[in-house]
This record gives sequence, structure tokens and C-alpha cells, in this order.
Amino acid sequence: MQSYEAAIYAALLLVVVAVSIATPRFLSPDNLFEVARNFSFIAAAGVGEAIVIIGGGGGIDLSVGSVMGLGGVVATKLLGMNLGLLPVLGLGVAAGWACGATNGLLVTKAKMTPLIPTLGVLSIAHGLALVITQGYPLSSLGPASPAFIALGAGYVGPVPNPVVYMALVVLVGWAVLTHTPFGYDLYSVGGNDEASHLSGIRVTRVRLAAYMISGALAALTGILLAARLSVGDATTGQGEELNVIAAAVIGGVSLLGGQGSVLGLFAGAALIGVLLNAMVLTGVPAFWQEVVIGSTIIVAVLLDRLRIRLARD
Amino acid sequence: MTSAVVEMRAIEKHFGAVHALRGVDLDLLPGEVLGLVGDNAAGKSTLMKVLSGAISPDGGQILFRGAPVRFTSPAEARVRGIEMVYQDFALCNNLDIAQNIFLGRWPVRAGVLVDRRAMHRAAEAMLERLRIDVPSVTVQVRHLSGGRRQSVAIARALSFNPAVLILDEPTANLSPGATHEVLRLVADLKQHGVGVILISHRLQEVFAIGDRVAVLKQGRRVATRRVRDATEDEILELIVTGGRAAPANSDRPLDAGGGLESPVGG
Ligand SMILES: Nc1ncnc2c1ncn2[C@@H]1O[C@H](COP(=O)(O)OP(=O)(O)OP(=O)(O)O)[C@@H](O)[C@H]1O
Ligand SMILES: [Mg+2]
Repeated sequence: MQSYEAAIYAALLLVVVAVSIATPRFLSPDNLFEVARNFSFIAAAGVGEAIVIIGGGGGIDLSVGSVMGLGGVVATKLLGMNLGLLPVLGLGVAAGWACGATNGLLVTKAKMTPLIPTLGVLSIAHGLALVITQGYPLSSLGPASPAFIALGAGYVGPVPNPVVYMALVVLVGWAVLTHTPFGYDLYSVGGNDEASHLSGIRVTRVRLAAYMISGALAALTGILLAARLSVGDATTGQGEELNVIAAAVIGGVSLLGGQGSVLGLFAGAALIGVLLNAMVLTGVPAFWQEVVIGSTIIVAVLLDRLRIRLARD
Repeated sequence: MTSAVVEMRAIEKHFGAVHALRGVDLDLLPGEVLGLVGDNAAGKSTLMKVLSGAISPDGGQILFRGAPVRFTSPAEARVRGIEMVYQDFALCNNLDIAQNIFLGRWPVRAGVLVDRRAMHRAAEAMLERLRIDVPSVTVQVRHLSGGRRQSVAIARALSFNPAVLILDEPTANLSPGATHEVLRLVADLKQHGVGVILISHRLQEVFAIGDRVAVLKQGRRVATRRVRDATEDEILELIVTGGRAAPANSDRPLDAGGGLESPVGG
């Protein structure tokens, strides 16, 4: 586990060195913050995704992208109805939490394969966002608009707010997973749910909580993304689940569960961010981005398999 | 009889069409090692899972220190001091030794943080007391040999300070050296007054450390013998034929004859 983390950080360093040799502009502070801001949304939503996957049982959350969109739409809609910033944040996150609870209940109580309910919720959340926006971007954000936009577009010193947000989420996620009973339960359940159950760990509850966290975190991240774009749009976040899952898997979060860490996920998100930025800087057409991300996922999963086989022998 | 720690009375269990337990009685005296033997599919694991709360019986009664009890989960049996080490180890391979010993009972400090140091210290003390030798409690159990893994599983069960410990084929798949180590551990427990039920296919080890031996056949208990009054051949005969008192013989073919070589071979 630790050795894979070291490897992914080494790979990240390697890519950074290669990219900065190819395009020296890459290392300018402005560009670096731009890169960080772009992958901050992936990393933040990725923490929830990693928690779901680590919880095992084939756990995966395909709905994160749509839930990001829904969170942003709910928040901007409520802002337009003249609600204050805090209730807006609370209700937006609650919408994501409800999506996560739906996923979690269908997986743990109805015993559905996680792919199915989270795919369903992907569609439902996107549909609800469309119903709320009626297909038009929501850009009249009421009296709390300046505060809301500052949330996504502002800075702490030289650091863009989304990067600060990501740092906080990653730090809290890391602390929860490595230092709290919930984190220990999560790794146990992901490693062997039968053994965990016999030892008195409430497997169902742990997994349900994982999906709830993923939903809530995706919505919060989507709200921040809407604030950064100063608009609520149902299409925001669409397809983002691919990047998020890629970040987790590249970062060493095994799809078999029980394996991987938030720090690894962070490196995976950074790697994706740097690769995307490198393609922009070197003039690779944007259409190639999805091809590269898709290929990276497949390579990462192959590496994961290889790692498991090596660990067995 | 009244001094038994555990008495199981007329336990019944069906799995669909399979009648796995047909009115089984079993007693465990304090501090004794009771061997539980029988062919494959005789119902040994099922009977013990009923006792550990992992399976609810369809009928019958369990008395704990003379009082009727009903377990709907392993946690409820645990409260009474009944622990079981399951046949397949039930360890989390992705966790280290200390974490496996404290699975789900993480020592906590400041209300929310897992006290890793306390966990490591307690795990080390536990293993030392049991004279289980591991390089470090922070080694992932996937890297351990079968014998060590079994020892870790037993250590976890013992960390609950049980009055009754059930071991389901703890030496299956172990090398002779590792087997010896596990049997020594079980023999030590006796000194601490822990009652042990040992499911095994190896009669030699039941005779080496057991006080009594109970024989199951096709969901019935066909005999209980004091080890010192019995011979391995006699028990083997009971396992195979169910004894003279078992009429089931005549109308039921022996379906699992292949398992008979292992008890003597092991
Ligand atoms: N969960 C279950 N579902 C269905 N049938 C079961 C289940 N558990 C056990 N059985 C059946 O109950 C019978 C008794 O099984 P059990 O595992 O108790 O036997 P055993 O004596 O432990 O055998 P072995 O020596 O092979 O471990 C078998 O016919 C088995 O197939
Ligand atoms: Mg068995």
C-alpha cells in the first residue's frame, strides 16, 4: 500500500519534470494554481468516491458527476429565490446526501450491484437538475450572489479558494480514514465483510455512510464549481465521474475494496490535472482528452490487477 | 451435568431440504477440551455456529451456566463469553496483526481518534502472553504463514476473555510445526480455565489434548466418550458407522467416504 503510494508520487514527479522540460511555462505559479484549481474538483469529489470504493463489496459511485450538477443547480435556484448563503449550502448538500442515501440503501438493503443504483441515480440527479433549470442556465443569484461567487472565484492569499477547499477535504478525508474508528471500520469491511460482521462491525451502516458521504461531498463540490462559474447549469459535472473514478484508481484505490488511501487519490487527481494541462500547453486538441483519460483508467486497473496478483504470490 | 458451562438441548437446523442438525445434545464442562468429530457434512460447523450466534437454530435450547439463552448474533454470544474461530480464519488480509486482533473494537482516545499505540501495545502483550511469536504487530496478515494466521485468529478470540472458545478445524492446512504450535496454545488455555470445543478431522490431536470427544453423524450425536477410556479406532468406527445404535446406517449410504483417509493420514 505504502509502496504503491510512493510509486504514484514518483510518477507524478516524473510527469511534472517531463512537462516542465517540454513547456517551461508549466512551472509558472499562475499556471500551477490554474492546474490545481482544475483538478481540485476532481480530488474533492474523489475523496467520497475513494471512501465508497474502499468500503468494498464492488462499491462504486457512478452518480458523482450528476450529483455535482444537481448540487450546483439546487444552490443557484435557491439563491435566485433570495435565500441566504448558509441555508443554500445546507440544502444543496442535503440534495447530494439524499442521492447518496438512495444509492446506499439500494446497495445495502436491496442488495443491488452498486453499478446499477448509482447509474440510475446518475440519470435521476441529472434529470432533476434539468427539471429545476428547465434547461436554462441559472444566473440570477439574488442578494447573496457576491458572497456566493466569491466562494468559488476568490483567493486566500495567492491560493484560489477551490484549492483551499480541496486541501481541507483531502486533509479531513485522510484524517478520518487513518485515525478514526469509522476509517478503521471502512478498511475492515472492504477487506473482509464477513469477518467484520462476525466481529460486530455494522457492515451495512458503514457502507451506507460511505455512499452518503460521497453524495454530500459531490454536491458540495458541485456547489463550489457553480460558484466558480457563477452559474447553475444542469450539464455542469456531466461525465466528471470518469475523472473522479480514474483519479481514485490511478491513485491506488483498488476496485476490490479495502485498499488505497486519500493521499494516493490526491496524487491520482493531480496526475490527471497535470496531463490535461500538458495537453493544453502542448497544443494537443481537446478532443483527445477523453481518449487519454480513458486509456489511463484502463492502464491503472491493469496495474491494480497486477499488484493484487503480485501481493498474492 | 449441572455444572456444565454450556448445554445444548435437542438442537434442530434445516437448510432448505437439508436437515443439518437432528436434535443434537452437547455439554461443555468448565475448563475441558471437548473434541467434536465426524465426517464431512456431519453438522459440526453448523452446530458450533448455532452456539456462537452466527446461525439461529430451528429448534432446541441452549443453557448457559444453567440459564436458558437465545443468541441472534455473535455479539450476543460474545456477551456471555462464547467465542468462535471460524473454519476460514475470518481475518482481514489488508489489515495488520494488531488491527485484526482489535477488529471493530478499536481503542479510542480523545473520543474520536483510534489509539494506535495502545492497540499495538495491547496486541503485543496479548501475543506475548500466548507465546505467539510474530516479527511485528504492524505486519499485514496476508504476509503471514497459515499457522501464524490461525494464531492471530485465536488471539483475537481470546482478547474477548471468553469462557468458551470454539475452534473449527484450526489445524487443517497447517504444517506439523504450526499444528504443534496451535495445539500448545489450546493446551495452555486449559490452564486458564477456558472451555474449548475443538472441531477436528485429526483424531490424533483430539486424543493428544482432548478430555472428551463427541461424535456427530448425519446431524445426530451418536456418541460421547472420555478420551482416556476410548481408542482412536473405536472413535473412527463411530464416525464411519455411527455405532450399533444408529439405524440410519441401513437405509442411508455413506456419502462422504473420501474424507476418511485424512484423519489417520494427518
Ligand atoms: N449456509 C448453508 N446453507 C445451506 N446448507 C448448508 C449451510 N451450511 C451448511 N450446510 C449443509 O449442512 C450440512 C452440515 O454442514 P456443516 O458445514 O455443518 O458440516 P461439517 O460437519 O462442518 O463438515 P466439514 O467437516 O466438511 O466442515 C451439510 O450438508 C452442508 O451442506
Ligand atoms: Mg465444517
